[in-house]
Amino acid sequence: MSQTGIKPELNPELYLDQLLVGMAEDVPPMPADFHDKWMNAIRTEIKQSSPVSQWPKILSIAAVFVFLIGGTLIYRSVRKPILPENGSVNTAAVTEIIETNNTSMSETTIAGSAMEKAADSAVEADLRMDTASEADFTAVNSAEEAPVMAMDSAWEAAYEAESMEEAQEAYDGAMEEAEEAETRPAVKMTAKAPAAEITPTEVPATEAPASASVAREGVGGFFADMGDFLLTVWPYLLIVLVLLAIAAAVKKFRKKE
Amino acid sequence: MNELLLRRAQRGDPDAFGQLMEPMEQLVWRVCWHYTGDRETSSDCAQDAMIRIWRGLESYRGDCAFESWVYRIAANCCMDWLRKKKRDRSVSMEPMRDQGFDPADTSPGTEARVIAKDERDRLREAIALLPDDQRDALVLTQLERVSYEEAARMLDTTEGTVKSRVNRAKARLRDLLSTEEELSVPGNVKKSERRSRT
Repeated sequence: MSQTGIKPELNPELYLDQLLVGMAEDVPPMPADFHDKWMNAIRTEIKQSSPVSQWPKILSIAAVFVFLIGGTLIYRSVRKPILPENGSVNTAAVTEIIETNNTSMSETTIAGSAMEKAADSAVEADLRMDTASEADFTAVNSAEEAPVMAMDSAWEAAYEAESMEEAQEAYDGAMEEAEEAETRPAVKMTAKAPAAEITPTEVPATEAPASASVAREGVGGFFADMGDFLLTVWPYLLIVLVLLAIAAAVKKFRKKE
Repeated sequence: MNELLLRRAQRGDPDAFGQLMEPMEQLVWRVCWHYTGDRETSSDCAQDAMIRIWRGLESYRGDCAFESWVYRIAANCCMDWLRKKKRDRSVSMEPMRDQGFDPADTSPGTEARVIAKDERDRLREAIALLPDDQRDALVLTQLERVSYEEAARMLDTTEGTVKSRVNRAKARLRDLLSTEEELSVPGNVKKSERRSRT
């Protein structure tokens, strides 16, 4: 016999209904301190979870500061060699220095070309001088050999002459010719090679503008450097941010599922 | 439901959450009672449900009725408790004392109360075996006495579907209660598996 008074095997439908009714009515009142208990539990939960939930935020902010300040300091130290001794930076000045250096480099290149051309001219002149010297040498040899050749010709002529008189005349004539040849002024080396002089074009040294020495000082300069640093690294930052966004989206999607 | 309170609570305001949940304390308490049948356990389950609601409040996007969402969390808490209870079935007299049973009490009606408790425990175990949708419809309409229309709104379905689920749940309960075997609360059984059993 059950509490409902109905045997389940006889009328199971009614038995179940009565059982459900009994269950629905037999609900004890909610404990008076129930609200306070669960509210305290919530507050305890907040206290326990707060430090945990705050840490990621604190660490994230700290990481951003370390990245910005550290990155800017490294950026400054990398740029230091082209700066004045005091190490301060002026973007405009630095840009001007770079442009001036570019101009000086192009002018130096032109001067270098001129020097190369002058050197080439000197080499050509030297070659011409050698040719002239060879010509002089040939002329001197000709002058020295001329009397001997004349005498030989005379003897040959006399030998071939039928009479001694003709031979004597030929001999006299050859002798005169030989004397004339000896009295002929000596051939002098007249070839003059132009002196190979390298006369590089003087390029006036371009001085760095005064503005290059303008230094970036103080907090403003540091923040300006920070801006430059961010402009330099923004593609990498963008990649990192995109990756983080994808990771957050995936996490959210999984949580939703 | 006050939207402003909900927004404030979602931003982490415990006082707003307290005000938001005050009208629903009874619902949470009664659901926990129906599932556990034990005053102390109901209190613990209800408190656990409140904490879970607080933790999950940020994820509530209004896709379903807030009451339905609260009810679902409370029911899940109770189901977890029932599974835990099944794992470590320790004999305790406390729930029986809560029901008014004292082993030393020999007054008239004591036996009847024990029998009634036994029947209700058996019914609770049978309810725990139902599929989620049938159990929700049955608990809301038969135990919480919520109208079919209201239940349909809470469960985000139609009135006809709710009635159909209730009928199927009752038929299933009748089968379960008619068996002499001991009913066992499902362990970590997946919803689909439980449905296939039915």
